[in-house]
Amino acid sequence: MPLRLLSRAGAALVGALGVILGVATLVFLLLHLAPGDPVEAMLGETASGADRAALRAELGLDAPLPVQYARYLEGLATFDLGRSLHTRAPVARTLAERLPYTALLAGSALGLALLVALPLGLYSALRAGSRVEILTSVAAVLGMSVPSFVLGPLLMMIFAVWLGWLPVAAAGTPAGLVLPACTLGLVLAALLARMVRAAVREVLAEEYIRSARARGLPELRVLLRHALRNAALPVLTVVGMQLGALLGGAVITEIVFGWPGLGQLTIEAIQRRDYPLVQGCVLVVAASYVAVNRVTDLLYAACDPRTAS
Amino acid sequence: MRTSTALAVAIVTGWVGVALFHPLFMAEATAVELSRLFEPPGAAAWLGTDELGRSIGSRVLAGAAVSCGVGFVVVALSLVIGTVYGVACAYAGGAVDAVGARVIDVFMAFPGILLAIALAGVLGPGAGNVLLALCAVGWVGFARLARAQTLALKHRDHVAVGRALGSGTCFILVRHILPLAAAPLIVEATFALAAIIVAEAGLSFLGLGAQPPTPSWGSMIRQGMQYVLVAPHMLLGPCVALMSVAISANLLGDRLRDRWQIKR
Repeated sequence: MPLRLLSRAGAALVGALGVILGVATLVFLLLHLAPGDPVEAMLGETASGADRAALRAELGLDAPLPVQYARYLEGLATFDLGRSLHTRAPVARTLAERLPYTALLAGSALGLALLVALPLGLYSALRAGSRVEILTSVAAVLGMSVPSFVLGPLLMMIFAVWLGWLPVAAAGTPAGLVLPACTLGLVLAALLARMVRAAVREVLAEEYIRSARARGLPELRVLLRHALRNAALPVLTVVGMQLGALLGGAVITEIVFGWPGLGQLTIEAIQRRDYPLVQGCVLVVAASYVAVNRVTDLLYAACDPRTAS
Repeated sequence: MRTSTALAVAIVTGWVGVALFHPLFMAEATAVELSRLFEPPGAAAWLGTDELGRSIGSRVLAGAAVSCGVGFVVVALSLVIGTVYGVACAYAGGAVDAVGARVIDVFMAFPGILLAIALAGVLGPGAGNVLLALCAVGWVGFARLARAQTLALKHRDHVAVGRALGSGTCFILVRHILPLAAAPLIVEATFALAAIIVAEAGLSFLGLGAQPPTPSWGSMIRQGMQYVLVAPHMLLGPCVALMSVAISANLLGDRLRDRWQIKR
């Protein structure tokens, strides 16, 4: 069994590398085929032709596209993502500095979402038609519809401006983490609560639950041992899928709260037409997304032997 | 029809109507009046005025053109492109489908909004480029769904009979497969409408969408954020407008899905 899981992990790794290579190619093509000249953006329209040519040669932008692509892949293989056109710092180092902030934000948001969604979803599955269930349904539709750039300012107005409980902008500090994490986490919690409700309700209708009850097992044990374990699978899949939305949502949330993570870095890089940095940012986010999804698949297989074959 | 469903239909139709007649509000929406800066909501301006003394109410109504317009056009284009792609891949099968599915995988590996942000940023700000960027992201969901549906349908008996009777590929696709794949695609389109309108507002919020003086809900929220301590009323109109469409479209998607009993 562990051997089978191991070979499955190997296959997943190869598949993930293939997807990441595809992603890297797509990002490269998008950035290089799109109109707009980084050299002009850096030097301004008044720069002389000689200056432009010199900078273009220095940045390696004078080579034909296939050559640039080959150099780019070569760099990727050694985790060398080039240097920022703006600050000249290595892209990999810049990303490594900002990544922990985004990871912290996304991780706290996910933790908060699970903390809210699991009890709420479970309760509404058990008590159909209750107020909590109606509240969960309403919250789920709201969660899908309220973007982080609406919820963020709203929370900021209430808790920072009117109540004064939290700082308006304290980016990078623990107190400054609360509002952005709530903004991201609450939206996710609403969606997850609905998934948990649906999954638990479906499992509760299964025959093994009925037979467990018929054998006289205490209700709590039926719930925890029989229902929750099976309901965890679809929820796990959704969590994996939603992590992508979480990373995307983090971009805008970071801008709203001035949080110094990858999202803010991406926007800064786009505004400066800093191609290597944009490339690096998009690639890192996409790669972590792919990695998370593959790990979810593996966890799924480990939890449910039926899917492992 | 339940009251909430009827209300959701009314809200979406209402905004479509407002978007179609947006030239009626445009003059007032762009009229600068420096003697009336940051007026709170009142009789003269029902949602107050902004940092240039423009009526926020008129700007919200005029902004529907960009916000809802981009939403509907992107969903329509994505639906057509994605469906054609997905159905073609699945029906062709073999190597075509294998490669086609990998392309879908690669696009799905991006958090959509991030790809749209990068693309809109590289293409340069403007509503047209936002439309392109969102289409580049939006078609994938439809392609995946259309492919899955076609894979499930193409081995059904009625398709085999159609082929045995000598029907052409196009006829089979249009008459035997598409009608059965339509319901999930329509439900997906309804959810996508909400998601795309919110995404357009997100890009405009980042300054990548329609440029001033053209109003759009996202850019109005961005401006409102800048003056949030001085004039919080600036946020009210665009936020409520955006949420009303998004909530209604999501609710409609929910109801259609329940009615047609489609699992997501």
